[in-house]
Amino acid sequence: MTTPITITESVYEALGTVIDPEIGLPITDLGLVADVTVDGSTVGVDLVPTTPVCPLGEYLAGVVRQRLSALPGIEHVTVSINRMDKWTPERLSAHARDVLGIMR
Amino acid sequence: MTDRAAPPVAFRLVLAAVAAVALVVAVLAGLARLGWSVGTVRAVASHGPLFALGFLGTVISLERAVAMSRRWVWLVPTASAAGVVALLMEIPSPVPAVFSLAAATGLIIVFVVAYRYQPELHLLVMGTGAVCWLLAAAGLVFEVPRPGWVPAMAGFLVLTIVGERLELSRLVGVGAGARALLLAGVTLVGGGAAVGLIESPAGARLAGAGLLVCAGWLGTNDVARRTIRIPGVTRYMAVALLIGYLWLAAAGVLWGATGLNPGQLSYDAAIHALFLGFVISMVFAHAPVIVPALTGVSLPYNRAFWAPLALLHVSLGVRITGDLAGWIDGRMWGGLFNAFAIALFAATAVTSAVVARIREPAPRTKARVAAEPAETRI
Repeated sequence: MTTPITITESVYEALGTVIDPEIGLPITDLGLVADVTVDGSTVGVDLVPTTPVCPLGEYLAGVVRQRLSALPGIEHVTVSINRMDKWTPERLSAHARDVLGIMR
Repeated sequence: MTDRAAPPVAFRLVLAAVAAVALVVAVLAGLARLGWSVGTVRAVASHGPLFALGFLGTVISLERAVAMSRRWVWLVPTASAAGVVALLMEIPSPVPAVFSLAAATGLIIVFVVAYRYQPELHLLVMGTGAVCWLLAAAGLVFEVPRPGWVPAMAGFLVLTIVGERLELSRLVGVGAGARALLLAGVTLVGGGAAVGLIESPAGARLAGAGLLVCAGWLGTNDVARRTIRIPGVTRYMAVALLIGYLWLAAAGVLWGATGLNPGQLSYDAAIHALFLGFVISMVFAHAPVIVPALTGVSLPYNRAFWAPLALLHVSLGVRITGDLAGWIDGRMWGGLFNAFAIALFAATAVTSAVVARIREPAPRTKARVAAEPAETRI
């Protein structure tokens, strides 16, 4: 049986496999995932684009939807691109900073 | 505000198809200009505007429409595509250019709206690029002689790309000195675009200095210098970008040295170092990401993408050597293989998409899921 906790874990794991092709890092490391909600078999993901005029968000949303829809126990996936929320470099993970050679 | 009223994917595909037709006709017109027999090609005189404003104006505004996902923004690529159709249907001047002027105006409004939400420098730079599109289209509407509007066409594409790269460079941080250098480059390119409409050689030289500064900025600050270490599509994109910056620098030198004189062979070198070496390299770099975003068609990267990229740059080197050395055969054959490189890229992309579909036949429901536009809040 798939419990809510394992679904949440598998959702985060799946999001970690969605790579921004231009940077070569997962969207979770780049701070592009603002929020994840799991309600039974329904998952909602809020993405934050680095700029409101970049179409890459649409591409990433498609990949997120595909990866999450393939997970067991998930029947409905909603992906929102929230351009009201401003992306800043502070959202980068420690791993992303290491790979990009950014001084901390 | 939530806007779920984005047009259907079929409408995007129609706009993308019009842009693709503009590219094909522009390339054939370019070959005809070089002296190759390619049959009767319409719009030979509009080779440059068809490529820079028709093809790329439509693609760039389509990108913004997909990103913003607000119904009115779709009027921008629609107007640009209408300009392409009007040109190909040989509707008399200035009708095609008026459509392009309307699209440019719309794109400026897009950036004003985006800047209100996020007052960031990269949006100002891209907005300045849209103003350059407006200047180029105005030059065509008022029949400013070629190459008066060429610096403006270049400004549109260069500043759009520079703005996009500046946006990504925030990942690694941009210092005050680098921002000042960038602003100098943008001012020179934008100033050259405006001056060129009145005094063509002076505008070209001013813009040339700006291209050189922008190339220097991109070569030293772009995140591609770091992402080139990451294998696969990321390295492919970084290499395409960095080679493009070398051509941008070469274009800056040629524009500055020659002032763009259409009567000389160096004109071909100066123009194509920029529009093929820099701009098409950017297109090759971003296609594996942008095509799926715009059309919903998956375009997985594979190593075959390196072949057209290499062919483009080698053949462009031959062409420009031919231009500068007065070697006519080198110029002609180099130009022909430039066209082959674009055709090979298109064939590689189509093959990649078809092979991916065959290898991973997604269930119909999953395919619909992938193509479904995301909800957008702005």
